[in-house]
Amino acid sequence: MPRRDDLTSIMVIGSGPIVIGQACEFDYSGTQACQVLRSEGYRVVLVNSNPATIMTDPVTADVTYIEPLDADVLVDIIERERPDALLPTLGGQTALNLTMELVRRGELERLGVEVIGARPDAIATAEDRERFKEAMTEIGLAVPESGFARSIEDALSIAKLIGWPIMIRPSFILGGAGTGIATSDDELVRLAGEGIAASPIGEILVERSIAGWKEFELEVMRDHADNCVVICSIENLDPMGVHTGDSITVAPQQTLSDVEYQAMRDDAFRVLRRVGVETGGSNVQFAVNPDTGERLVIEMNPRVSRSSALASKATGFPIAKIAARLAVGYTLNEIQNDITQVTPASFEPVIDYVVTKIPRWAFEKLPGSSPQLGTRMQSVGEVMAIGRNFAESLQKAVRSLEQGRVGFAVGEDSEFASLELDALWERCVVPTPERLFALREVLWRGASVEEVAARTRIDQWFISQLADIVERERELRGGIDLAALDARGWRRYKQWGFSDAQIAHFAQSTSDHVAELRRAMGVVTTFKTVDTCAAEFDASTPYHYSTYEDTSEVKVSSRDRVIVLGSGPNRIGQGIEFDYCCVHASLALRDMGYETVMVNCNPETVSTDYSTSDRLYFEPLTSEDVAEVIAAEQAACVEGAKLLGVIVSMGGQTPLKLSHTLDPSLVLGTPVSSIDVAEDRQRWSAMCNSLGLRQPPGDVALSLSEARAIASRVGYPVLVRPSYVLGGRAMEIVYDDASLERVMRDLTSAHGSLAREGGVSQSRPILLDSFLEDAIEVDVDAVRDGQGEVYVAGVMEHVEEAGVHSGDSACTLPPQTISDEVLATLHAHTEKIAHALGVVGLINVQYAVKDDEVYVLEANPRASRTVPFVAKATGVALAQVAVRVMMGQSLATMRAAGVVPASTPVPSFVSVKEAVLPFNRFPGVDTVLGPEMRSTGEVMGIGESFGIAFAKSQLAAGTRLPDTGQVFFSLADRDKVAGLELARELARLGFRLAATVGTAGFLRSHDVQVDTLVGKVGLGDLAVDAVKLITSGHVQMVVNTPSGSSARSDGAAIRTACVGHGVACVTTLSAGFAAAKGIADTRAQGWRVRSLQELHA
Amino acid sequence: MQDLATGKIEITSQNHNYAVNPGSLTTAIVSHVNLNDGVIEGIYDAKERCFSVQYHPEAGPGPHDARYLFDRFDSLLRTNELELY
Repeated sequence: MPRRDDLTSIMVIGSGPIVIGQACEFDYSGTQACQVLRSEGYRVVLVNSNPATIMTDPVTADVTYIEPLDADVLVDIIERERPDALLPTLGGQTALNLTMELVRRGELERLGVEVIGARPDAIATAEDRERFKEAMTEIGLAVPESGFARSIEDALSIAKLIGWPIMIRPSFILGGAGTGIATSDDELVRLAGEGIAASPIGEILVERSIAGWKEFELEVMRDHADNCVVICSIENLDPMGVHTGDSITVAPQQTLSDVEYQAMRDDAFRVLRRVGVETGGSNVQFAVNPDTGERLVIEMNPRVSRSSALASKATGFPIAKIAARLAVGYTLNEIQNDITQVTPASFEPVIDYVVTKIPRWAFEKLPGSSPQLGTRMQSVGEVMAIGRNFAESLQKAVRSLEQGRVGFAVGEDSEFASLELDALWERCVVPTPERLFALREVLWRGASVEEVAARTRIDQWFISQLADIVERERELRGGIDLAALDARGWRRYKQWGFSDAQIAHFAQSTSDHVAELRRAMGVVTTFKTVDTCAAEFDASTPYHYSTYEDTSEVKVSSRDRVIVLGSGPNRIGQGIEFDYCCVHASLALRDMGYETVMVNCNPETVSTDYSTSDRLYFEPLTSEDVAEVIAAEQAACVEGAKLLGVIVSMGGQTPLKLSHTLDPSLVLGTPVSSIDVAEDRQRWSAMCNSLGLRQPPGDVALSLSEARAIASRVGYPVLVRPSYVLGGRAMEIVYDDASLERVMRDLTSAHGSLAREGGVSQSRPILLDSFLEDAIEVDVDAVRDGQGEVYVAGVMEHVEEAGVHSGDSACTLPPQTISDEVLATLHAHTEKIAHALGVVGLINVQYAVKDDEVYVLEANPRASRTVPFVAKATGVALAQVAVRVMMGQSLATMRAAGVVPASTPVPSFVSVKEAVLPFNRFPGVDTVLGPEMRSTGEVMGIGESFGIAFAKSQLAAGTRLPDTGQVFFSLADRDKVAGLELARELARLGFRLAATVGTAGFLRSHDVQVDTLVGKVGLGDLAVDAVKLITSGHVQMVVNTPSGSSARSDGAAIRTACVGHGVACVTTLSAGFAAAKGIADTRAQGWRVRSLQELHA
Repeated sequence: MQDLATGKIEITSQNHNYAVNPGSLTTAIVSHVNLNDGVIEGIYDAKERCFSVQYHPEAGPGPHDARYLFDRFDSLLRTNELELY
């Protein structure tokens, strides 16, 4: 049956900010869905709160709302837009949960909106674990024995029936928040309490733990004619017990026989049919007992997921695109396979390569968190690599991680080499981000494959593969004569996935020399194609991966081309914002008539959608891999076509670091030498001095004594930070000698925070600057063209004061408290810096403004994290403007064409960007904001006033500002005077106040009424302490400012309690004032929803 | 593979270099077609009470989607009628 003509308008819900468990994959799926539905002629209404997405670009949907993903807000939007249908299966768990809430409230029925893609009944069957279990039992499939509990007592009695170990999973959650394995009553009590709190319906599943079993996922699709296909099978290398999002996974599955696999496939289809997913993609997870072959169904997701993004990238089958078509009535055989363009989508992809995914974690940025992996997902990003065999794909994946390892086997690893055997085994058995490398060490020391497999419960096949790689390492380290290697020998090591850098390391040579010897033997990279059909049909979509064989499949063309280097795995500090910029680079270049080539290794993203660019190379972002892509592209130029260059400034630090290894004439836009000036402290300071720009006084130090000298010269507080790190890593604000000593000792220690990054050296000194207290921080994004004109695209005033990392601070556009004179100075300074650095393209400059004096903090001559926000707030496609400039267009030309406005836009509305922090995943981590960035994502609030925009941004980030109730104050001494004003303001708004003894005394002495006196946490000195107050629901908001790093423990407990109970908590007074304004404006004006298209009309 | 009588899609394993020439069919009717290339994969003749496919419903190795053909054969033997649904 072809498309449904009874629908004209369809609403799509996105997944909101990037959080652990929900990342770029839903931008990828949502963008595809919007594009497909529009091409089918439907009017698409999109709602998402995340401005850094491609899906919220005003051209992706017909109507785009950047509004909080909240049921009330959605009802407002539905009432305005009156869509006929709602497609909830492409926006992750967020969209699914919101849809179910709207269904339960009867709103969709009232407004006549049909849910397409998955019926609410099917969603409930899949999501409600009791119903799912019943459904599975009904069709004769086994699930782990279990029971539901709504109290700790229930949980204990169920556990007695099943026996230890017991797995706890809260109902209706995403990414495994609040799940864990208990082996005793005590653990069960703790986990059950956490789990009941984490579940939106206060319910947990208590089940038989099957830790150690093999884990599989099948990505399946079904159309309304009941045709079912498996798109991809995925096997977890880490056995059950580690969340699949935290597991190393491999596609296709490697260790099942055909008989076992086909039985699993049959089961998956039965699950789909019973749950009642009529159309679309789903994911079914299985556990297999490695000893008996017993197979259990673990769960099914009736929607597109992280795994389906991986499956799409792994096979070339665009699951989200097809799911959207199925939802509007097509059957699989009526849809064409994009890649072959001649065969229908009713097939199962066949792949003649192996795909490996490795997650990337951020434990180093979250002190207090334990880097142990479990059933609660903790990774912030992932890489995928494609190879002709498992070893090659694994080694490529390891080097894609950008964590200093050039492959799986890289010789002596300082972390493990010194361990006693028992300690090493412990590291092999306990799953952590580093376990893979502990396995290398134990295999290197000669442990047998059987023993490693038995102890780790990792399938013997995987261990034997690892052992084989280690054997190759042994050969290479055994004094191999590289000059004597013949073509066959070279090819053998390359096919085992060894990079030139790895071989160079073993042979005490250089990568360049190794590459030279290898090429001299005629061994060069060949590129194969991801074609869905193992070369049975011609593939028209050029999606490539490298290997070492005889022929390359890159097709020649006579068009000029440009390569865009992507940003690699998501991490804290470098996420979707940069992927957004890379995608825009490709779009602008295609629009200008160039052929575009994308290189990236992040399977979640829109940039690695093979339709984003003319060619996609799914490759690690290392100098060797990028050089091979460049060579292949140059070789594929015919009839005078040229590779015009490489764009390195859109993907964050990753491509920028690679720019040094490129032919400088190929680097488009700002020259590499300018980038160096901005990064080199001394040269940068000299430049600022010569331009007459004020900087906070400071210097560089290598030792504690040098640091002390600087501190005494500039005075405390001092901002201490290492050079060349991302996202404010290991940065601290230091208020006295003792703290300075502690910080410097850690930074200079061989086992300190920087041990992994190479420590401190002449070329990587520690930077110390006077820290400007209570200064306002400002971000400016601008573009300079080759003719020397500068377009200031946006000035953003941070809500939190300087000292909170810019990525973690809320910011507002336009600025709210900055005078016109200061604004003019900011414009002028930005122009001067852009000229002096010879910028051609984007530049981001950070300033601190104190007492109307402007200080320059730093400049980055590249795309910044705020580019998508500025684009959404001003309606100017900033990243595209920058790329056009890099290709030689002038701002004047673009202004004439209407692409760029005459001057910096002054919007009629206020946009606030708020950071989203991952603290609910890391219970022990203090939530106070500081100079080290820790947010994973961002949201945007839009309103007529700053207050409305801020309040919306808070709700979008997960905290609704209260309208009534009690506010608890606990202020550091230096904040008391300013805090008084905030307390008065909140009291005026009708809030009752609670405060700690010290704060209460101060407030009362200034005639502010305090209703509740609060004692020290755990001291029992007063009837109620702060944590009790928060957990008992007697406080609706907390204002807690930390008093320096020593006295943090009490504050940390307070802030942690807030996170656990969803209570609004501000840790800076400026955020407190913003919240007060938000509450006041919300009350006075109410909220209105408006689409981007209306706002920028 | 598509069963033309039901419209259902089957994923099957098959590998053959020779195919039925559509023009050569006289009384037999096409029952299955490979959607990728249009090749005839199954024919039947109800009057003669016979049917055949040119792929592997026994699935060793391969998916089990075409197992219903064995039921069809079983039913044909028992009832003397070829039921295509």
